[in-house]
Amino acid sequence: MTTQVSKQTQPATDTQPVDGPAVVRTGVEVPVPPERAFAVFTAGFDTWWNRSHHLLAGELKTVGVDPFVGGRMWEENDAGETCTWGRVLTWDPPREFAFSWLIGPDWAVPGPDAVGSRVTVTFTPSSTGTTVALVHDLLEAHGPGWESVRDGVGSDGGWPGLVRLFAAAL
Amino acid sequence: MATIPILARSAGPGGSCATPLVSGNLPNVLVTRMPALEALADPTRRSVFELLGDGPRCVVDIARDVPVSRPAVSQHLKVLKEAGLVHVRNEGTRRTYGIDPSGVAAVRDYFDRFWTDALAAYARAAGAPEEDS
Repeated sequence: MTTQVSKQTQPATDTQPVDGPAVVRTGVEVPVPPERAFAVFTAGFDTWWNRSHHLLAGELKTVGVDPFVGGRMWEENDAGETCTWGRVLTWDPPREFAFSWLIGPDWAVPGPDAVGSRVTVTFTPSSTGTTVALVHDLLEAHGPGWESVRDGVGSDGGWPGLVRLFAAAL
Repeated sequence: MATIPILARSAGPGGSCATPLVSGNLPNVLVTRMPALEALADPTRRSVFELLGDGPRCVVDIARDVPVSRPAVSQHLKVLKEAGLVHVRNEGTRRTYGIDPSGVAAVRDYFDRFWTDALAAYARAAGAPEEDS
């Protein structure tokens, strides 16, 4: 009874071309239960984030996640300055975590009316631990002309509407 | 792996950009090459590109709105085209340049690499022994 092997395990990297160019799918298998996998991804964000990826001047001191829907994805530099670069959209431990990604590909501090894409991370128990699947979609928000979009229609009726409306409602 | 220049958006006098000015010389913020961003790092080239956001134009029309010569505009368009940001259409005797929507593929590739690297680091952290704290 207990020797059943899960047939649900997905390949760690599941690229589906039908998604078109505006979606990135990737994933990884980790040898820990979903609770631990979720905690490391969120509460432990600072332990694995690439230190060279930051927005503020100076050295990156801390990058963190506020653990609730509407919470900030934030960073703090060595001068004590902070900035928000996304918002928690889904907080459902240990199953799902999603956040808006308001950073353009130039890694500038997002303006107050920044449009964004969306990152959704799911944690599924597998026979060896947890399958972590990450989907980054609505990437057209950062596509060609994204500056024009932000400066123009993006400030009002922008199409990553879900993310923007959500951020505005906070 | 080349470090690419940051797109420092000028918020100088007369600038209409609402984004806060950040340092233009942060080291190693981006470690992944992204031709589209490299192409847009040049302010004149970026203004050419942004003009096309309103719709396709020919070189003469573009040159009217930027403070550089027609040959210079053509050169900028060539770079933008090679970066996949702009496409060319022949309409009769006119060549018009417009924004290439497939350029979003470059953004996809960028995030693809970004998250693959990030998740590798994450997996190392997740697999590490739990700390008692």
